[in-house]
Amino acid sequence: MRDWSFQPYGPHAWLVRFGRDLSEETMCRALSLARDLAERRPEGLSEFTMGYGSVLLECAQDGEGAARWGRQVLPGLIEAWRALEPEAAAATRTVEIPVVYDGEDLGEVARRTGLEAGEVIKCHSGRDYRVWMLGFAPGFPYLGVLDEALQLPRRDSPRARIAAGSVAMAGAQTGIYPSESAGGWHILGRTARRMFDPERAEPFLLRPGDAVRFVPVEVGDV
Amino acid sequence: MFEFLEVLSPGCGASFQDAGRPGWKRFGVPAGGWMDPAAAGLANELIGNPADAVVLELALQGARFRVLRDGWLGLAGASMGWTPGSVRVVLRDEEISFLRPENGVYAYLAAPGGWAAPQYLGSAAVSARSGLGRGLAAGEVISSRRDPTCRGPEGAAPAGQSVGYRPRIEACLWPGPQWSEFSAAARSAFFATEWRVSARSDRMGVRLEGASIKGPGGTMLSEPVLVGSVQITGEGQPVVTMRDGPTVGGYPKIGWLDQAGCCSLAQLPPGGTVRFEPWKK
Repeated sequence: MRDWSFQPYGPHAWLVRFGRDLSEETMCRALSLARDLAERRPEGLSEFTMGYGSVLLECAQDGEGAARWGRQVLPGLIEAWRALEPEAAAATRTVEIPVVYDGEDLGEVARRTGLEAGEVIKCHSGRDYRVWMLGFAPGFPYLGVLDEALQLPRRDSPRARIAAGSVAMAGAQTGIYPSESAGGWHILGRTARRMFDPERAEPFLLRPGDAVRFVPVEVGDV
Repeated sequence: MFEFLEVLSPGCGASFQDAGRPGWKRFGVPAGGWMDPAAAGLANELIGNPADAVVLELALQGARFRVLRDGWLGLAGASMGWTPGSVRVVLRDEEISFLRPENGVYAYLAAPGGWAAPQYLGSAAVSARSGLGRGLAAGEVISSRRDPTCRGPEGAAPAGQSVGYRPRIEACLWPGPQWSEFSAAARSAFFATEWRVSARSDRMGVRLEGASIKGPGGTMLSEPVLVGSVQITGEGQPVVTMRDGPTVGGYPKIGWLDQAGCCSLAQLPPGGTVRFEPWKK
């Protein structure tokens, strides 16, 4: 099972890994796996959670039932997933996110990347990103992949409070904080679009596989 | 619906909780729900409720209420001046107080038929961080779903089943996904330390103090996180993911606690200590 591995995570869950980098190949695998799991839930599986190159599988049973599932069912599932056609590289839906680029880390990002603030904005908004997965907080989109010129490690000391709607970046990732939260990413700006609203018919604004385009706007336009 | 209590003070945090909302983690929504399922279940059982009825969870500093009509209350969990594991008759116009607990952190208050509470994504479990409902505020009136004088068909469970939470606990640690990437020295330091619960602990995570554990180094791709995971932050501090914690994260996880371990840890007040023992095959 080249490139695929799995390990137990407590007695009733397994972490399956299928990629160790933020490449387009890993993303396409993640998207096709998430789609397959959502459409054809394997028997005995109670829940799954996606990571970049990993998926967490939780078995509906406890004790010996779970152990048997891990021994007898899981290896066959992985064999089938390896043969899945990776999701097409092109997205079917593009969502525009208007952003006021006045984030508190914009100046520091410019200084550390050696760019002008205007160039940072142009670079961040100048390409389409794909929603790799939702995680961390409800509707939080993990977007990839950031231009190399912008990539910085996460902040040394995480902020205790990041406002809802903050558009931020860390490493090769960029994302949008759906609700107020602690976090260590660099804040570039903010949007008024709500990533998550439990009262909405579609609670989550973005879906895995969507393309996202950040559109710079002035304060009044948000 | 029967208006039963008026909130005079929510204390350190009073919120409706139930068994949570499984099935939404792939959208970033933690399952949430009661921090101590055993205690919440007992509160419901005492009053003859179904096991999944909505209870009121009180945290750390108690709360005060005015009783709007006569009725029964089932109380379990931390001892906040009442006997946990007991059923109480409360009378109209009475003022009832829950004090800072002598032991434990979370107390559960069950009303006949369960509390009437709004549902979000199929559950009444409040998770402020997730944008799912909010804690109770002073002045709010809360209602039971059944006449508060009518206990359920099962009647009351025998009272006096208080767990008696201790301020020092031991918990069994299972290996986490990065267990083998921690050095042998880091692992033995983790087991050798008597960890103290930090005051900066909440429904998202319990932070532990007492030593600094050296992580495996390098950067990790963000990956899924189970409730009960013992993550080691960049500063070497363990944070145990609790019910409202992030579903995905980038810190290495040295170990994992099962539900019994999570319950005991949740009921450990700031300053309480925990030692971990390695799992047995």
